[in-house]
Amino acid sequence: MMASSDHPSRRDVLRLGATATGVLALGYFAPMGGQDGAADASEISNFAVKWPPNAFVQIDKDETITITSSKSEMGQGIYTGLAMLLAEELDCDWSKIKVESAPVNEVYTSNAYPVQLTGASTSIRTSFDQYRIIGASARRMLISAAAVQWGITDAQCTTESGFVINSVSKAKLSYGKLTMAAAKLPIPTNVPLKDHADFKLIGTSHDRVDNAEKIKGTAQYAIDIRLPNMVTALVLHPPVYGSRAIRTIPDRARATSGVKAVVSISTGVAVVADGFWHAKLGRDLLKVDWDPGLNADFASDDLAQQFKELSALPGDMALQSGKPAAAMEPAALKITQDYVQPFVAAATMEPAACVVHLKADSCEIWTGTQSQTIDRNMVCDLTGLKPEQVTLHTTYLGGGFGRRAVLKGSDWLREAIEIVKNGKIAVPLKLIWTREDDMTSYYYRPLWVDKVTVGLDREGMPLSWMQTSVGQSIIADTPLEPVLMKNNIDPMSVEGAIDMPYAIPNIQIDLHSPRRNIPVGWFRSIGHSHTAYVKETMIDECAHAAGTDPIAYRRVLLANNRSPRDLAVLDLVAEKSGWDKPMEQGFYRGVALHASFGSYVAIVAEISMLQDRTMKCERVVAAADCGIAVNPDQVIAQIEGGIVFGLNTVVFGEIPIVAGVVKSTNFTPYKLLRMHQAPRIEVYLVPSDEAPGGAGEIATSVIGPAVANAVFEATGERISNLPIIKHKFKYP
Amino acid sequence: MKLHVNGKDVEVNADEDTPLLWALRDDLGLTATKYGCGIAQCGVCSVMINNFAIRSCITPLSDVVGQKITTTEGLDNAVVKAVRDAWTKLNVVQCGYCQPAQIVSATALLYSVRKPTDDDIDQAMAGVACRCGTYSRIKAAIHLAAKALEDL
Repeated sequence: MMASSDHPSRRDVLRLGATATGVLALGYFAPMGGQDGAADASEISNFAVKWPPNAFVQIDKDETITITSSKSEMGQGIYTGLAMLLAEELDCDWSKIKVESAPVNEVYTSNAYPVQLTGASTSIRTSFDQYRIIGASARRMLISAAAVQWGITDAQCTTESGFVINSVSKAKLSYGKLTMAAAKLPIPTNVPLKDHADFKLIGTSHDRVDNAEKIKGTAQYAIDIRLPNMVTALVLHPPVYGSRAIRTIPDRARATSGVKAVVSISTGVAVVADGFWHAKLGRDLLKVDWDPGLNADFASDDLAQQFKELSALPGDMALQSGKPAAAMEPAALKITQDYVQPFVAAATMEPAACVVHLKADSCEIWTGTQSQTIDRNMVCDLTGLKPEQVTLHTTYLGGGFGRRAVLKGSDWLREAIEIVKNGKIAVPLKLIWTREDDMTSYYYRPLWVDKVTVGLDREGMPLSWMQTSVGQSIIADTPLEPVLMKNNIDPMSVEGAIDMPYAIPNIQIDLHSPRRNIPVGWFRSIGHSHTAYVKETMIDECAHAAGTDPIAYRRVLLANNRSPRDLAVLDLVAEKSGWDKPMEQGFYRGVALHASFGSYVAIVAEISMLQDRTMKCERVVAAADCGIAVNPDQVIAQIEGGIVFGLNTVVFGEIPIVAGVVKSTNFTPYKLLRMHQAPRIEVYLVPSDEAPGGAGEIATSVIGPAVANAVFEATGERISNLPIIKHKFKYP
Repeated sequence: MKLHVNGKDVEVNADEDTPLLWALRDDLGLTATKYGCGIAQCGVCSVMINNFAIRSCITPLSDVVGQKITTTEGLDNAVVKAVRDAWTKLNVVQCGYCQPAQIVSATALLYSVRKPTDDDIDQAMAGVACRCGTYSRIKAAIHLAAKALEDL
């Protein structure tokens, strides 16, 4: 199991010494668990219930409230969301808040996974109680400090926007004036939290706390870090993933102006220079012979073919309800589809980058990672340093989408450490991946093949659904495998399939998880990125076979659903999109409904389609129920962004690999959706008092099938082999 | 080489074929201008030359000697203020990596077209990719900034 350190970093110690420095600093852990896709509470408790030598909130004498985010800010607005949770209970002045990223420490361990990690849309869901409890506890300590000073009871005090109010005398003391005294008090337990009805911040839209920095351009990403005497490294990677350099001719690279060193590492050969451009010029002149490696014959089309053959064989059982095979026999109609969904890349706008400064007894790192504990531990393994000797600063991430949560450790950071170690480089070193390095670095969304057969009765309603999925497991051969893999089933390979909401009496979902020599990785919406497409295009096909309107058909299948929330978003999207009104000539629409990460989303996509197959997604209407929306405007922003991301994937997304070589190495041909190609988007949230669901990934998987169903309306063609653009469509 | 950046003459120790992007970032420390693709496809390296947005990743220094180069750091006028205010009001940013370039491009657009249509915006902004998908808010923010400038 992953090792976790309970050694406090220097900064933590400073914070622990709160009474000495005269500020209240508070750390807390509130165990959580049982979220879907997350480890059980019993497993979590083994890691997390240790008294934290650490702080989540610090109140300074100048009234500044510093909130430490245990989660990486990669665009999802988590700094703002977590600050709102804590501030809701602390009752502080919102304008005095600043948010910092957490160092690596056990106290910041994810409440869903046994490591410090941002992913699977768990951040708000699993921090909802934790950050509120910390805020409430700090407030209680400030009240107690004021009560002592006034000689009254705690109950005679209230708070208002950063002040404790004496309800007897009407005197007031600011939090900054009380922080020193409050820090000396014991941390209270079992502080009651507000009733949801009393929320002042939660459920109201707040501006992002990172707006100013990001708008002025002062926000620092790893690629922006500059240190005295810093050098910059680029790595020449082999054309075939996993090949090794067998001969390097470094002379011309070394002779390049500004180049300081050429260093061999396990994944390539690095050129170290005084800046990016000289490193790039040097790298262009590097001559390296590579061994053929294990992947010289690897081809994505071959893989799809192998997976298709596997899909004809039964896999490991992920779900079996009823008697799917027997129930298939009497079906009036059987529909079968073989789906292929290709490798796709997260393609964050900031290519991978980091700065490392390795000394004899310490290592300092700046990078945009979603996975701090694993990265820190990897650095310890590579350097022999102890956890407390490694300091990792999580910068802003120029996009994450899962690519920055590498379960074996960030592959770019590994390279940087190898460079400074092998090259004995004592100064700070910045490693930058060029776009080509980033795009060919693998950890793609796995290539998925799904074979689905649905048997319909005479009325066209499904009797039996049998699905065999084939794809590499993301957690296989990683430290999460023993934690999450059960009976050969990676739950994230079948999420969205095994929990489909439709009333189908017989269902079988089985899974093959073949292992290959290439790594796969998280991709925004994880397993749902293939299961939602399969489920929602197939249900649409069933509806058409039954001669029923696709929304009406889904309503029938949801009639006796255990949860009314699917139906509610479906009804809302039907109303808001004007589903009952006919489309104009040349315009077509499709619908999709999918629940993921604890939230429910229905989408109607409207497309235009010309005779020559020129198409565009023109308008998207989304209805979502994500429980309590802590910052509704930012939940909407995530749904908007998720729609653009998912549309990009379904229309253009494909990383072809031929003879071991990635054929899509930059934004040509790997197309990013542009403003003029993006739809108008309307998002409607269902008011809810349910526990918060996810937001970042919930729409990404739903737009694809909605668009594909619209393409069917327009052309009569079912697209089972993605991306859409491959089928001679034009999307200018 | 001598360049004119953000209203000042500056000296950079770089060859004339060095892309402007790397002189800005590595020599001058102006890191708001980002690297994204190096082949003028994503636009996150956009800066202004004489009030027009260009891609600094493929623009050699020799092309910009004697020109007025403006990066996000050097933008300070009523137009960019309206743009930034609109960006804040509509909470446009997500990861934020492309946003300095979006703001440069939006400002350049508003310099030449005071009241842009959706089509004007699509055309002017198509070159700057946003992987977070903030396009609908960018478009709304440009309209909002144009409105604010009209009311000035």
